Amino acid sequence: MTDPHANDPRDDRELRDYLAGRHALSVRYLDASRETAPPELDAAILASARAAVARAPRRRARSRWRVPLAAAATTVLGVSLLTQLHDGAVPEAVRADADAPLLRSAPAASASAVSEAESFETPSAESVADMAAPAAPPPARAPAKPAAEPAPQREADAAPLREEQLAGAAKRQAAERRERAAQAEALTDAPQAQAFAFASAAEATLDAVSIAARELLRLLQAQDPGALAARAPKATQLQIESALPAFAAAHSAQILPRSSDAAIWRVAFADERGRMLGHATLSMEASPWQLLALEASSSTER
Amino acid sequence: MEADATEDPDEMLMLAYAGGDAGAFERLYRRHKDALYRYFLRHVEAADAGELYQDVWQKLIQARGSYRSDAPFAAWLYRIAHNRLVDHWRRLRPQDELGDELAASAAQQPEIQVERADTAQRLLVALAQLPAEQREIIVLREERDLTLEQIAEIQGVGRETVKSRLRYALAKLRESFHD
Repeated sequence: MTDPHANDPRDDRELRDYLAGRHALSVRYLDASRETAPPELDAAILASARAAVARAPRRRARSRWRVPLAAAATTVLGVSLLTQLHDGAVPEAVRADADAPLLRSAPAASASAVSEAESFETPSAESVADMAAPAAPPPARAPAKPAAEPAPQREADAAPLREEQLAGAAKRQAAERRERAAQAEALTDAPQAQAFAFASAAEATLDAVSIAARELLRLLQAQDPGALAARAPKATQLQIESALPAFAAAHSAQILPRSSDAAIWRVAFADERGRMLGHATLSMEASPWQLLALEASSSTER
Repeated sequence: MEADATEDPDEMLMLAYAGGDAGAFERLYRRHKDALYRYFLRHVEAADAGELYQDVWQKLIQARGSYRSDAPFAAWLYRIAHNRLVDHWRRLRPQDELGDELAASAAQQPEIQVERADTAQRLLVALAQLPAEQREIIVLREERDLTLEQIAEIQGVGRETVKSRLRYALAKLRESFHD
């Protein structure tokens, strides 16, 4: 369609004047715009804003210690196991396990996922890969006994080399982490990526919910990003409606009834015993998908 | 804008709120509340305007952790508002695209249908008769002084499209006032 105003010099001049703030319209609009928001809405919104942050410190205070502690535990376990591998103190069967890509969720391994979940931001490809690829083997697979029985003489002999070994171990660990991240990233290309498994019931915490929510985000983001743009809610909705049941079937997740706002989706997560872990609230408000809220269920909730 | 240059920038307040400072939200809210409320009043009936207005703030509260300060706060806020408005219209008329047929909704408000000689009120009537996309540009410019680029981002179109729509809007308003 041609624009009848496109070449009208009067229109051009008027547009320039308007953009420069020299147009009568602005004065008229200012005169006409006297309405203010109703006080009852002000009160309700401010109360809601205060309540939202009043709930938040508990989560932040807890995570302030959990993340560094988990990171420290990851490092200690990783270095310990690598040192044992280097010393030949680990049985072959365990070594084979340790060499395999470990994609199970584990408390120490979920440190990065917790950290990302606290920010509630869309994960980068790298952080998604980090989430699916634990930095260290799960504690259950790191045998405590061999670690506790190094020969004293050998320990003494190794002492001058220990710093060098640690540095080498850290480098190897980083290389392994990158390799596992690449493997996990490849897995995320498939909507039904199996790089995630729920933690056991004993680990039914915010960690587990955050990992599950990240998995869901990854599934959604694996779809056509263009169609997921906020500008195409109908197309997005169709794609979500096919993605969410797949996710639910794979991960014991339950799609909750949507609120009146079609842009908001809530998904509940359960562990393998059917116990509720919590729920995530997702929005397509700003493309790509955003995780708006993440709440863990209480341990007794079902 | 209600805020002056000596006050903390919107973006800083939003980040402070995301960090748990409820007072920062209140300051931010007071800066933007009336303009946002009028944004909805210019597009829907008063009863719906209140509901949409509340929804947008609620959504902003929920999404506080995902806010990134590299985007101007006002543009972010009005993008949420725009999307909420579009969603509202689509729910009312799922078969319709945004366009001229929606333009009359505000003009049909009883309080605006009443004959008004007052210039300011004539402007509101003239605005209500514009297509929604054109009206939104005027409102965003007048209420928040958003740039053409920011409005283009909000509307999901190119800058030239916004410019063209604005040109149309100004011409129609000029005709309404016989300027």
